[in-house]
Amino acid sequence: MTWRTHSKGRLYDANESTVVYFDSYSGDTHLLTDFAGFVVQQLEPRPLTTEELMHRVADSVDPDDIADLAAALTGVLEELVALDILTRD
Amino acid sequence: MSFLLQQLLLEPQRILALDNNQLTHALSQARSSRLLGSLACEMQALGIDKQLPQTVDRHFDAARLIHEKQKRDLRYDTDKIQLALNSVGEKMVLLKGAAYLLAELPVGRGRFITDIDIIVPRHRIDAAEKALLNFGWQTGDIDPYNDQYYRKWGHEIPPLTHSKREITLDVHHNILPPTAGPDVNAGLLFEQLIEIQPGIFTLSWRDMVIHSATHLFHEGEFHHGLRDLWDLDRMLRDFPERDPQFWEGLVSRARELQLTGSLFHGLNYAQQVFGTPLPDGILEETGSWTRAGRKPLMDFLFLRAFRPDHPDCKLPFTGLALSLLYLRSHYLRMPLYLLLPHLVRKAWMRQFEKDKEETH
Amino acid sequence: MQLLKHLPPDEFSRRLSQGEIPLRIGPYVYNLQSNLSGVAAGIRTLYPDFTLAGPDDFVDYNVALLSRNALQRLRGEAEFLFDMKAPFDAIPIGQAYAFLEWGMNWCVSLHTNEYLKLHAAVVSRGDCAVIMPGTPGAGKSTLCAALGLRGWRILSDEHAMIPPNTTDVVPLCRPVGLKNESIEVIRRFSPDAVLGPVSKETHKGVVAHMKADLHPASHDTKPLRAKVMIFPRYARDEPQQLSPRRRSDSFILAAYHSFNYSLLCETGFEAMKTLIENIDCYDLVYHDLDWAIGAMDGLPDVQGEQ
Repeated sequence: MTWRTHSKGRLYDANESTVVYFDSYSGDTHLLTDFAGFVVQQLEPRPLTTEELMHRVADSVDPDDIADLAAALTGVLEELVALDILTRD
Repeated sequence: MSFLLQQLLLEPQRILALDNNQLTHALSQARSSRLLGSLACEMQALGIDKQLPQTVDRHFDAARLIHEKQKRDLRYDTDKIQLALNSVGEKMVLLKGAAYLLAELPVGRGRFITDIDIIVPRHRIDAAEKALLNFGWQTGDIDPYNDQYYRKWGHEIPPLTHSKREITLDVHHNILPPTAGPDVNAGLLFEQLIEIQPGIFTLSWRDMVIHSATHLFHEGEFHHGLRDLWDLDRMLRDFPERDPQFWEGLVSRARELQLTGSLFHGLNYAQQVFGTPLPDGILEETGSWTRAGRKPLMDFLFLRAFRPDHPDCKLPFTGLALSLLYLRSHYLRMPLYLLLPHLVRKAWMRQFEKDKEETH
Repeated sequence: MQLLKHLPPDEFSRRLSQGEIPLRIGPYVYNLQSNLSGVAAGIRTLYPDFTLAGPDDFVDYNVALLSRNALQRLRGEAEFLFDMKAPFDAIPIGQAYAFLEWGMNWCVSLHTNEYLKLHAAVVSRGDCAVIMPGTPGAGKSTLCAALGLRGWRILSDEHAMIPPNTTDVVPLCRPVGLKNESIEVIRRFSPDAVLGPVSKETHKGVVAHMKADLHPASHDTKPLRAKVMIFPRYARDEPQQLSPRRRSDSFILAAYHSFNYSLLCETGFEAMKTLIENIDCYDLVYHDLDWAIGAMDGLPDVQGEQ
């Protein structure tokens, strides 16, 4: 499965546990977890498959936390689709 | 000071010669006629907006920003509407403002919209409504009487709203209600659609003009009279360039749709108010002997309605002319036996609502 | 430079009834018209120190509060008019003054987009402006009025107007709207508070406005740097505290309190980002006005200004 953003949005990251994301397609502004923000940033340059995303995420996550990563990633992707920030092909 | 706005729309550079008092009135007129965005964009196209003092241009800028935002939101909303309609095999056909904006026509330049209008064939309207409801649109608060009225006598279903968006969607199956008199065969409209973007359609150029004229003379919204006439002027100057045969088929098309009366008034008043260039003989071709006889009265009524909706521009009796037109408009839409119960019922319901509030 | 109070009373009344009272308010000129004595009295009480624009100046907002015809007078009703059109239903004459003030807010809320506009009170100490967004009932106006009565400058009770890509706020000083108990609270808080007409039974309850241009610099039009954003919340039964809040959250909350953040799209996002990155954000829970003012006086950004 491939995931992509509708458009190139804008991100405000103040080094907190949440980031602000402006979706220029819908015009909506969202408060996302930093993890969700990271996922969106990975997808903005080009669409990625779930596996590709897993690799990127795994590189930047503490190995101790990796066990639940797949589930967390799936959950976040679903939520981002529900917010209409992402679509899946 | 009167007719200032019409002059400015046609020749925006005139604004540079106005003093502060005249500028105050020009802005005030444009704003109350819902033409501030249009004037702003006409000025911008000529590059004269930046020659105005910033304290004046900021108001035009504010209107341009509203227009730009509406256009962006429209792209998003129509994407979603298109998905919903395509899910039941229906295509999206935009009417009026939404069509002007999305097709990037000169008539859409700076124009504000208050809702999105689409049209689907009558026998597909239930399927379309269900699909839209599945995609997050919902029927607004409407009492059963009004709901039934819409469905039985209207040319559209009750307006839909979206939980996450700030826009109303009007789904039509015709451009006039079945009770209006002329029996428009809406099926004809679907035979000549224009695909402005993949999967996004509008009526043909001729049908857009005829519809706009019809709307102007049947909907009872004469407070936007000047704006609607400006729409017509923009289209009548633009479409002949897109289709060299535009004028030739216009009258016969109106005849086919049984809307020559509306077309006659639209062409006539666009020419009188904005000097819209028309081919020789076209008014005679649309006009009938009876229409010519009624012309002085109609001029009295309409030329008042087409002034900017602003006290600077009121001729004596404007209030009277507007309420006569409102009656005329309702009369055009519905046979009297229908009109009266509806108005009575509406008045009664308002009273009822009030009583209810007061006893609470 | 002619101030409103320099007009003799009869000339004021005549010009007001004819719609010839153009006032300079912040960056705008409002032209006022009314044929109601209560409205005239309110304007004389609350706007005497405002400058009259000249007859040849450009007018941004033409507003009127009129009882327009015999029927309206008979019913004791009046209408707010903008460009001589009534955007709202008629209201009882007793609410006319409050409605004029709301209408004047509405003009800015709806018709200007050269600034990012937050629904917020703005006050300043020295050169440091503090933005206080608030939901209705959060007590922002009460706190704003109290700060004004203790030497702070009131820049606005309703609109924080921020030119995009700056951290500036443009002053738009007009009377502060007080509701219900707040009116008594402010009367008790200071005998110096000058209040206008009391409008009863409005959709917001009892409403009165307080004269807000109490500071020598009240009518300066120069923008001030905002250094702090405070989200006030009046809570009778909670411990009072002023505590830092996160920027991302504050961004969203301020955007929620904005009239045109969404409309401005990317410009709005960048404007908000610039603002939030460069100021400190706080939550303020209070029930005692003196305590709240003391806490604000003690903020690091504010202290140096005293």
